Amino acid sequence: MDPPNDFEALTKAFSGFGVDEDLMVSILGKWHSEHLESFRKRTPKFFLEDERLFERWDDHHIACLTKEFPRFKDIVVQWIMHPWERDARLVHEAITKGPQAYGLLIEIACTRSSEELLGARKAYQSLFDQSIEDVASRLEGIERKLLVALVSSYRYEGSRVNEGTARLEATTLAIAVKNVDKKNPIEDDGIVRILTTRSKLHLKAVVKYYKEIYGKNIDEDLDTLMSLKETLQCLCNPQAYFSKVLNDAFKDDADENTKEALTRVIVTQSNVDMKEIIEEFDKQYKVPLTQKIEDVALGNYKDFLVSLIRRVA
Amino acid sequence: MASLRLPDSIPSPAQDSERLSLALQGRGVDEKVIVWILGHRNAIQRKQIKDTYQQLYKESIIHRLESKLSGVLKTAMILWMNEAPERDAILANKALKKKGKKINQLQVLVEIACASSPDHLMAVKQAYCSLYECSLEEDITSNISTSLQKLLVGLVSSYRHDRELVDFNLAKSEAAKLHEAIEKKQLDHDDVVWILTTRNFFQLRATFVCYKQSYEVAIDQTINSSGNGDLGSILRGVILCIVSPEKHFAEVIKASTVRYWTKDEDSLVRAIVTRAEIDMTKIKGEYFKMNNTSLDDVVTRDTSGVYKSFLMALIGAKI
Repeated sequence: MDPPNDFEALTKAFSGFGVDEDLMVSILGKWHSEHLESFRKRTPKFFLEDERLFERWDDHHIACLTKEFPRFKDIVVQWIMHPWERDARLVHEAITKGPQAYGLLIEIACTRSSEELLGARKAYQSLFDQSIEDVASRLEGIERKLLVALVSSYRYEGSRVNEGTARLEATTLAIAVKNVDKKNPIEDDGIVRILTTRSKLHLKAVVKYYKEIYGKNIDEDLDTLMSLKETLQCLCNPQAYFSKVLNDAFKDDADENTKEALTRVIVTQSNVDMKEIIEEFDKQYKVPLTQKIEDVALGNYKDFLVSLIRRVA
Repeated sequence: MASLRLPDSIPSPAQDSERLSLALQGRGVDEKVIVWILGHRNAIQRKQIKDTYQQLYKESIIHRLESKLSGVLKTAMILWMNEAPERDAILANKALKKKGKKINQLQVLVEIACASSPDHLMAVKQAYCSLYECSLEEDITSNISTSLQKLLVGLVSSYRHDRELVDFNLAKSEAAKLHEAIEKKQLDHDDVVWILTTRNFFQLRATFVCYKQSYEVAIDQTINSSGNGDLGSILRGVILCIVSPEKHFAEVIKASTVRYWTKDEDSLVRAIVTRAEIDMTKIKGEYFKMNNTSLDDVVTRDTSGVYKSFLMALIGAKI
């Protein structure tokens, strides 16, 4: 037993994504009450001196642990779950959370294939006895029109693109973006129709023509229009989108919703385009994704994440 | 209830295919045999014949029928031989691409969205993407005026819940919202579109009942008397298809025939072919109530030849 090192190791075992179960068993399992008392007294990060003279666990940290311990359970359950049920439950969670979670609705509606989205809609009906669009039509906020149309979409997925129409729609989009002071583009029926009925290949062409005609990437003009920006990114460049979501999850000030994305992205994209996401992450943030996960995640949760990624890398 | 009558014992698909092949051989075509066989087979049996014919003769029976038949009989038979999702995708495409189309030609979109199950609508959309290399929504956008796009795209995009779940408080409040929108002539208001396109059919029927209770006049009559043009006409079609598809199709058939001739062959064929295996018996009942004449008599009177025999077979008429 080596108290200073053990205390440090144990503190680390509680401080990341997930918890280091093995370390906890090997250290804590041997401790008697005097070791526990020592740990409590010497770890002000977790314990406060209560006025009634006992070392009290900090409430905020307990709340964190309530989220960290189940991360392994969550990833296992999500991984086994049918993708339709998984997406339906994610959508339901997002709808319950309200406007702060609308990005998740956009993510699911735009990054899934037409059949996958239809599957999610079917599962949602089985689980919650309503259609997603029915519930979405009663959401609050200006994103409502866009969200209802996005979750209702069944896009053509073939290779045919009408270049002339794509070029025209690039101009329509540009005009709408320029007139943002008069009207938010996502409240415009025509813009919503383009975003929600065109194939992904067509929209990539629209983005290409935007660059050709106006000399810059469209997302440079969309900084104040987050929903529109996210929609286009999810539809045209999902790897960049997921890469960013992962990076946000690793940030020090990330809240629980942002951190949950680590599980969600790895699980939902593992059989889709994980390879491309890993490459994009490497390119954007100059550190391999597996390395980052090794640094910040712990225990069984970390091992599971790494093995899911290693399958494709 | 389907009106299609099947014989007590059905030959095997191979036997049927052989007889059909004979009827389609040579310089002429034996239309009577084709109608006699195919006019008395249900969807599953027709698919079996299609597959067997392909295996035996290395050719699609639909292609063969297309090359040998002509006129209205050809139109009707090709629709009949396609599986329901492809058939409706073809009908939707035809309606959208027609030059100088009138508003009632868009009824087929309303029928597909509102007079059949949500699963069927999805199957039609999948078939549409395969057949025409774009989505149904995109073709609606390219071929329909902007004022009607929002409603029509909304109608075909929706995958409604199919359980009988009704929230009566919601029905009441949404009846009020609809009433307000109709009075203000805002028929393309987002709320109107969302209510009509995303709620399940049982919920909407309850909403329409609440409407009648609250305002003492049926919702479609309010739309009618506000004189709301093309959009109003489509909306009335939506409401009728949800409340009573039999009445809708009885009206379609009535509008398509005039004493001694058929003025709108396409609509007559569509109504009969698409509903023969669904609710043609009920439609005939409604038709009689409306016109005091049986549909059998009208088809006998207004059509002729082998085409007439085909329609009579589909509507289960006593020959």
